[in-house]
Amino acid sequence: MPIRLLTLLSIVLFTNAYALDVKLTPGKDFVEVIHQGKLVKIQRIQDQDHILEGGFAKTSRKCPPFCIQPMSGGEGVKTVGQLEMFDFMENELLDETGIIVDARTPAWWKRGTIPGSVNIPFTVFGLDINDPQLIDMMRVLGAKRRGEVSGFTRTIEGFGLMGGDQKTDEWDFTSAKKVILWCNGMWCGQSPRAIKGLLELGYPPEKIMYYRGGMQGWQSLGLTVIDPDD
Amino acid sequence: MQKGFLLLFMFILLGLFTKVAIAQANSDYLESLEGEASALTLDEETKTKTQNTQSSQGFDADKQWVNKGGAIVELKPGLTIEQFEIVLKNNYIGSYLFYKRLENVQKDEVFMFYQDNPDPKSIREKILKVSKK
Repeated sequence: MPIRLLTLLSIVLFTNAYALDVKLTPGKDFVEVIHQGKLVKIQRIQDQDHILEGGFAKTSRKCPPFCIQPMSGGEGVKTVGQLEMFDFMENELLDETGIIVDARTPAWWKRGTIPGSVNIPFTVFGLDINDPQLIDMMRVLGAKRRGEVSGFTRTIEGFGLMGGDQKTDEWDFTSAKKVILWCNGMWCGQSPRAIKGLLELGYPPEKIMYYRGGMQGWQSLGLTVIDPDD
Repeated sequence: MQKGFLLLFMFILLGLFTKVAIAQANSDYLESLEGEASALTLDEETKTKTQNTQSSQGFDADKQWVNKGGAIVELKPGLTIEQFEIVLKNNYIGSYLFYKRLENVQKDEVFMFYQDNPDPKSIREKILKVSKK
């Protein structure tokens, strides 16, 4: 009996030696995500005395332009938090049915991003619909530019037939991925602008999500960020 | 007639002014963004360490891998383990990258699971579950 007890105790101690004290959730120590061909482990800073430093510890920036954003990114667009991000990374992102977009300008992206994200600056979604850069980026999201569409076809699609609810005159969103857009946080207008642009292009709102916490929310939880140039 | 012409002229002028004002506002916004970004530093503790990442070069080295299973494009029941891996690699790269990191015993567990559940979503969940054991 004492041997069994000792064995059990050693198992508990051994397990605890490897378990993280600062987990993501009670049952989850970390999530892994593929970033530019590398497998990256996302976890929290384990030092419980650590206090955030750097640009995201800053509380105040001039408003406008850095004003507090509404909770909603747009009509029909779901706002998500960190747990939904983890779930998305382990499911949609893994099977490439979803994509996480860092909607900030490249200057921000270069200074660090959330692992698993791709950089599509919000300015791209305001380009002319014939602009090759916009067409390329929309292709990354799984949307296709349509060719000539007859009035008859559009009329039928208008009734929701032939997948019409996922098409506009210009774009076919049938295979469009689910997309989470984020920027610097609650005071950042870059991803809301990107979402507005996407909605104006006809991207289905049910396929768009807004991670409002952004980089500041991510950093304040001590979650891993990655230098895109590494 | 002259009044109508004047109204049209003012309308065009207003349109041009609005367009210029919007362009100026956008330009100012971008300038502010660049200014903030240039001074940005990140908390070093949150930056991922090199050992935290695993290069995919090992996976790229598999490029010469012979496609012995033929052109199978979906996870239909009854595949051999080789065919199963090919389909996984060709169609579900994310799941495949996690699968490749498993021990042989764990791979067998996933393959056995697939035989009863040839559904990509269930297999992905199984791979993740096994990889965290």
